[in-house]
Amino acid sequence: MVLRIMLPAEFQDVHRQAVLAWVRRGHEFNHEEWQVAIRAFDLLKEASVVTRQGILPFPVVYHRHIDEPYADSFIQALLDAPEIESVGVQTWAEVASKIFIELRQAGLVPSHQPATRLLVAYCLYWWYAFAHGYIFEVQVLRDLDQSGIQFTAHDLTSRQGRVSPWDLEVLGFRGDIKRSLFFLQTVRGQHLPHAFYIVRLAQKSRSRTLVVMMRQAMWDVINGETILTAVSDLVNVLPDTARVRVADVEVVVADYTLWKRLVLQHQSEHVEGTHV
Amino acid sequence: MFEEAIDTISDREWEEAIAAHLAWGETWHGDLPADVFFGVWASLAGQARPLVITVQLDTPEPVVTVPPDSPLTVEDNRIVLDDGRELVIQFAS
Repeated sequence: MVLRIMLPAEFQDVHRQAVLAWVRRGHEFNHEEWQVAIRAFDLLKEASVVTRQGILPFPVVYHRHIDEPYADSFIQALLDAPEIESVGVQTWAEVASKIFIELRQAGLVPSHQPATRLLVAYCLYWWYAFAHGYIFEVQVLRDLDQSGIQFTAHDLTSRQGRVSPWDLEVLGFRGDIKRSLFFLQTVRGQHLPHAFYIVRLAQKSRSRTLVVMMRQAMWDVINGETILTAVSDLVNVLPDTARVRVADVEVVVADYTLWKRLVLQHQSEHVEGTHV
Repeated sequence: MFEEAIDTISDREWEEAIAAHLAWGETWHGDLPADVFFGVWASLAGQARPLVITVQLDTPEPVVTVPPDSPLTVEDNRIVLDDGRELVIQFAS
């Protein structure tokens, strides 16, 4: 069967190159390569595969062939796992290794039609984002619970619960838990819709570090000091708390452990929600 | 910056690319270095980005879908914005 891939007009050769490069070596991308790759995967959301039965947008293929069959059981495996990361990565790999085969069996990736590889790459990218994003989220939610932080979180066990506009509420503030890459993919406009974001970054001195990026209003409530810092110097300021301006957005960036300590202290001294 | 385009390599090279993805995905989980993270954020912050909503009409009932990373939430024919406001789509024939 001959299929046709419909791509948005803005999708250029450099995007075709970026998608392949991400599949091969996304973990090594630099600043410039991420800029192009994020744009490429954004544009693929507007792509479709044209079959004899009709036009299937890439997001619909992902929903039918990846999200519906695998997402719920993946989340349940994370919630049941004593070691979240090892179970999560193993389950991610099991599904990822099947994506190409299953899309081919569904007739969506016929051999000798290399343009359909874009559909495979799209599904690999979003399954990677989903799996590693929720591995991180479940780890953080479990840690907050074990640390004694009072919070409410969305229901991860149902799709409807997972796609709620925010992940959790702490001190009456709404927040999200995001891998740094997927923060960029989802939250990068001129404003931050939520009061805080728990994000993990890689660092040279420590392999990974958790930070909380929050609007000034939340930081004022838990009463911390900041150092006004240029974005380029932020790496040197952490784990001290910094205040940075990115485009028109000003955020306070605090070490996660410090943020937890200040939240716990505030929760022990106040009845939650009375300050907002 | 990049190498070949995805549709110009051989089937064997494509299968090797997928194998490479499965290998690095086990050890790298999407945590960017701080300088790359803030640098990319600053570069992307000013770019307008359309919010994609797909409505399928070839099914018994219209199906509304948004991409996996969308800030929008779909509940039946309602689209919930990230600030909690809702858009209701009414289909008329």
